[in-house]
Amino acid sequence: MLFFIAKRLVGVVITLFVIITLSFLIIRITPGSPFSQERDVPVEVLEALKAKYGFDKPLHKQYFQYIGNVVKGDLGLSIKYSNRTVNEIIKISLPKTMQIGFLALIWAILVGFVGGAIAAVKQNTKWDYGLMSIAMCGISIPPLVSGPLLILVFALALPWFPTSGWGSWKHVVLPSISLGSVYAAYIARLTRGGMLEVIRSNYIRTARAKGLSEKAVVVKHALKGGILPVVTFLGPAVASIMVGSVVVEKIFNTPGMGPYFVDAAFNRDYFLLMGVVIVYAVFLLLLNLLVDIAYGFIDPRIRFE
Amino acid sequence: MSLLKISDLRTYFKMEGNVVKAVDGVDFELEKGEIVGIVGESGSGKSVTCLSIMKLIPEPPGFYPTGSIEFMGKDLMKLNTKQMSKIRGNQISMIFQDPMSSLNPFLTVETQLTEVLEIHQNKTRKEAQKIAIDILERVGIANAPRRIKQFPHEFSGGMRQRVMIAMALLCRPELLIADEPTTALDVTIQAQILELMKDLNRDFGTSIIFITHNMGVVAGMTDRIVVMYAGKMVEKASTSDLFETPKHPYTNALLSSIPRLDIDDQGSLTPIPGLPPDLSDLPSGCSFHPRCKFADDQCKAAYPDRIELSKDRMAACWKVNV
Amino acid sequence: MQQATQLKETQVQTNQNTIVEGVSFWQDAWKRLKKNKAAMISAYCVLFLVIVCFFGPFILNKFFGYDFSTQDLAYGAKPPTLKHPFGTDYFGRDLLTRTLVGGSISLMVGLIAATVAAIVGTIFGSVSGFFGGRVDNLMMRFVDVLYAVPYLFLVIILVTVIERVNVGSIFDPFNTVSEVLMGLKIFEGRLILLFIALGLVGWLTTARIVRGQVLSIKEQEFVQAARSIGVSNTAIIFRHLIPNALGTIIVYFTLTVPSMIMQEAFLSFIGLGIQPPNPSLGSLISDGAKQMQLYWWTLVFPAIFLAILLYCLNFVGDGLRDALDPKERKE
Repeated sequence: MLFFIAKRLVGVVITLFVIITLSFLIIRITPGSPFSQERDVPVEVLEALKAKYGFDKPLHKQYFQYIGNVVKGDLGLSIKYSNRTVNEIIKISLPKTMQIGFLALIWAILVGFVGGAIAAVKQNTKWDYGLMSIAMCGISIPPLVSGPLLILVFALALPWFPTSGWGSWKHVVLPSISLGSVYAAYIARLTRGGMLEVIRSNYIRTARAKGLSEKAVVVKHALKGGILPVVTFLGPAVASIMVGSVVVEKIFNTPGMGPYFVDAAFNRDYFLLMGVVIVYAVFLLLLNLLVDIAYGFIDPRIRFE
Repeated sequence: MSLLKISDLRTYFKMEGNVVKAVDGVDFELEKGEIVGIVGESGSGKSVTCLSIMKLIPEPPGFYPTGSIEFMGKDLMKLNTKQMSKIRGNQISMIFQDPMSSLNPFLTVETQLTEVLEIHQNKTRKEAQKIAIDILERVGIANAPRRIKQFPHEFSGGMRQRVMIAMALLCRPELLIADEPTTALDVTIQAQILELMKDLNRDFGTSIIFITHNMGVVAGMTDRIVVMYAGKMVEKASTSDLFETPKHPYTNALLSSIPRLDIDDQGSLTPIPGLPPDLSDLPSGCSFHPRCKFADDQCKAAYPDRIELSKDRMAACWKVNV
Repeated sequence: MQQATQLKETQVQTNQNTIVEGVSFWQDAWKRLKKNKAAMISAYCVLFLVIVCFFGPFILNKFFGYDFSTQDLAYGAKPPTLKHPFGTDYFGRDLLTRTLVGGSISLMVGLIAATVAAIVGTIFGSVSGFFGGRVDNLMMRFVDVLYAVPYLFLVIILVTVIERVNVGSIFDPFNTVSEVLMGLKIFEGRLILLFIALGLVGWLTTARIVRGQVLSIKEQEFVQAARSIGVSNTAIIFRHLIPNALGTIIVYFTLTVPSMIMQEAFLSFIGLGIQPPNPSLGSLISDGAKQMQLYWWTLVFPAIFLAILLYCLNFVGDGLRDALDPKERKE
């Protein structure tokens, strides 16, 4: 078990290294520069700027220096927000993104799992059709659509929540509803599929033949197998929630990581962009590892090797 | 009074507008301590008959247009789900064909065994555990106190079927329904499991309904045999009568398709020509006529009446006296 | 031996009475799809939306003189009326026309990007699955790495790179058609490249799934047989593996279309996709969201239109999956 985790962690570090290298190369080799918008800047100032960020050195030297800094935990200086470090920006903005993201994920899991389980247990009834139609709507309404519509209804027409900003718990509600609905829908569909497969299986028939009540059959015997596809989905879901938060944060004007990401990509804010990519990759890789571990705990047939 | 009396049991399924008659008129009785075999090819309705006794047929699409299942004086057809679950696993138990998939892979053997005692006999976990270990030892699982903590995938096929049998016998049921319990196992393991079931029948006095498609298996096991074809009961007899003087051509065909050591018939086996019919599209008249070498116009025209040849001996065939 | 032949003959004879017509995989799938009412209705809806999106702007232009770009600032934003069922936007442009043009652009993006994704994913996945071993391992690690890089990052970078690529005149015939219908060259410069960029980033899932399929198919006897008589690798991939994985590929293609439409909307929303005055559903929603306090209709209509389009496409994809997925065929 510990060996498995250690082995996988080494893999995570290697993948991360590859990602950093690849992103570094892509950002630097492709056309565009962080200073290209400031055309009127005198050459001397530009040179000074380049020296400040180390861009005057050869690329491979910059690369090794950057890797060295990353290992030390220093993600460098932002170019656009000139007197702030990338660490600082991420430290302030990441918790906000995470708050919205985790809230979205938690309600998506709760609602999606319960809804999917009910639909599966009551397969081919009104409940099933109703819940699955709602889920289909959920999948077809991205945050891009649900976000503005939620503001229109629950912030403008009914003044229950603020339209935008950050501060109180009220600011988190609409963004996380908007962000989580797609995942709630996906989880509901996955749970239903997983549960149906389980419910049709022989061991559920055995459980019924033993005289267990219908409730005990579902809770004790079916849920564990039915939750597996959901667990598998969680890794990629968290990743795409982080990208999805870019839209939501833009719509709701949340000072999270999303707007910085877009800005950094547009402005070629090299270090900030790299920093965001690294944070994102670390999240994804660690979560995938966590999912694999959770999988092993739920399914005794899987051994950690 | 007999332990179990099934009268005119019919189990139909609604499938895309059609009605599939999976079981279409089955009657038989079972005395305490008796072993009855139900024999037939796949799709003959033998498994559905047994699942119907347990009321384990999903409704819908399944439904029971007629029939009563009297068990210890109660008609199981009239019980609701709650009353029925008090009987399942307690007074009637069932073991299934595929021991690989019939145990829950996510739970330990202990959990799966003790929960039966917890629900039916209000035993504490500790008491239940002791009984479970005893019964595992009884069905021949060595090192039971250790193995009970394991998961099903850590057991071999034969061992899993032993666990299934142990699970079925935990509450000392009056009736055990065994749905092809040895089909998925190796031949040597098959013999062991059959032997075990015979022992348990003798020691506990448990009645057994034994389903199989293998005539060779029922020969040494059962007291009486019911032969099913395409959802209908075609012959019913004591095991010795059936093997000595089969009356229905189908039974006859089944018997001549198995190798036998006791009769010297120049070593040739006769397979049954053709395939079992599609239940949603049955042939006219006797369902067996397309495959029957004695069939004539009468057989094609109408389904034969049941002919009571003697007490507990029945055959449904126009050519019964041929 | 003789008996065995005899047995076969009798079996053939009896089987002839109840002969079952051989149904091919595709016929079977088509039958299943036709039975799935929700999927069929959605398929007709998609067809309807496609026709309306591509021919609607032309008709609106012919009969009412509306077009998606001519501004009438004096008229300005007006709520829905009979004359303008979706209302008009801040620049006095008919919102119905703009929504339909936006819809057709979104559909084009979805189709082209999903096609690119399907082609790249299929080739990558089948090569990886076919060669197996080290090659497979390396190729799949590459996919893993790309999975861990935010696609937004890749798309933004790709778009800035290919902005400089000149597509030349390959798409001229298509542009002529789209200009007549919508008054807009869809296949021009940045736009077509954006479609391709989305596809180039979105092939990862398809690759993984095709690889899985190929891994299982290549172990089957008919592939072994082909190999034993010396059929070349390329021929095996294209004649045996891909055709047998085609069902799955189609299913994922149809499910990729709505997700690509969603991503284009997302890119247009953050200002990276389509450039004004050209509309796409994403840019319309983005504009609408900015003005929703004053002109609710500029948000609501494009938003609902996009949701309906995605809803129908998803239902069709779902229906196809149920019809084509061999796992579901067992029952």
